[in-house]
Amino acid sequence: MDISIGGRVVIAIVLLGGFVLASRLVSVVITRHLRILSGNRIDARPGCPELLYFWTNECTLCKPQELQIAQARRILERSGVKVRVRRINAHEDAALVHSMGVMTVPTTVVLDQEGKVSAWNPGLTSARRIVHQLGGVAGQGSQVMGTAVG
Amino acid sequence: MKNSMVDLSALRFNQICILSLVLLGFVLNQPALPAGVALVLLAGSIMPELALFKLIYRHVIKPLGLMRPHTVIESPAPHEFAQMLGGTVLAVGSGILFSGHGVAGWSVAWCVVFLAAANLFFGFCAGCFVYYQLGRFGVPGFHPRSSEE
Repeated sequence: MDISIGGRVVIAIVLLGGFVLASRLVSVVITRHLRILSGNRIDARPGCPELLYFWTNECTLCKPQELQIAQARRILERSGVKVRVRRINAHEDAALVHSMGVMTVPTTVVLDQEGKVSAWNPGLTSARRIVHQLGGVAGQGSQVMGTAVG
Repeated sequence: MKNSMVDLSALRFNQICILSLVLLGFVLNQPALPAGVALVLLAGSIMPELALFKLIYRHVIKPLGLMRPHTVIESPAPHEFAQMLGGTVLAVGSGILFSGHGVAGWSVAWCVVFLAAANLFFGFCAGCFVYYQLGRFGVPGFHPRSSEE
C-alpha cells in the first residue's frame, strides 16, 4: 500500500469512528429486537424497573460490574427510584440467557415497568450509564442524573 | 483456575498499549510494531513475568500515579485467554505483512485494534466473550465452575 502518513491517519480516524458508531447501532438494533420479543418471552415482574445482571464465576469483569450496579442502586434510591436487581448465573438459566441475547459476561439488561427490554449492555457498564437507563424508564432520567453528578 | 488479585488498571493500560502501538504501526506503515506487540502478548501469556506492558504499569505508571490501581479478586483466566488470542491474531497479521501483503496484513491487525477499542470504550472483552461461549459449549478447559466454588 502506497499511502501517505496523512492518508493513513485519516483512514485510522474513519475506521475507529465508524467502529464506534457501528457498535452503538448494533446495540440499539439488538435492544429493539429484544424489546419486541420480550413482551411474551421472559419471566417479567411488572411494576418497577428491573435490572437483569448476567454473571459467571470465571469472569474478570463481574466483580467491578457488581460494584457499578451497587453504586447505581444507591444513587437511584437516594432519588426515590425503586429498582429490582436480578442476578442470573449465565451458565445456569439457559432459557433466559438465550431470550436476552446474552453473548458475554457481564451483561446487564434493563426492563421497564411493563417488563419489556429498554436497554441491553454487553460488557462492563458504568454506574452512570445504568442510572441513566434505569432513571429513564422510571421517568426521572434527568432528575436522577442531576443527583448522580452532584 | 482459581480467583486471584486482578488490577483492572493494569489490564486497561495493556489495552491502551495494544491499541496505540498497532495504530502507530499502521500510520507509519511499520509491521515491526504489531509484530512487537504480538511478541509481548504471547510472551506474557506463556510467562506472566515477561508481560512487558504490565511491567511498565507496575514499575512506571503506578508509582508515578498516572493511573490509580483498581484491584479486585476475580478469575484472571478470561483476560489471559484474551491476551493469547490477541497475540496470536497479531502474529498472524504481522506474518502476512512481512510477506508483503499490506492490505490483508493490516486488515488482520485492525481486528485486534477494534477488539481493544471495544474493551477500552465499551467494556466489551472479546476474549471473555470467546471464553464464555467455549464454556457454554462444554469445550474442555473452559468448563464453567459451579456457584459453590
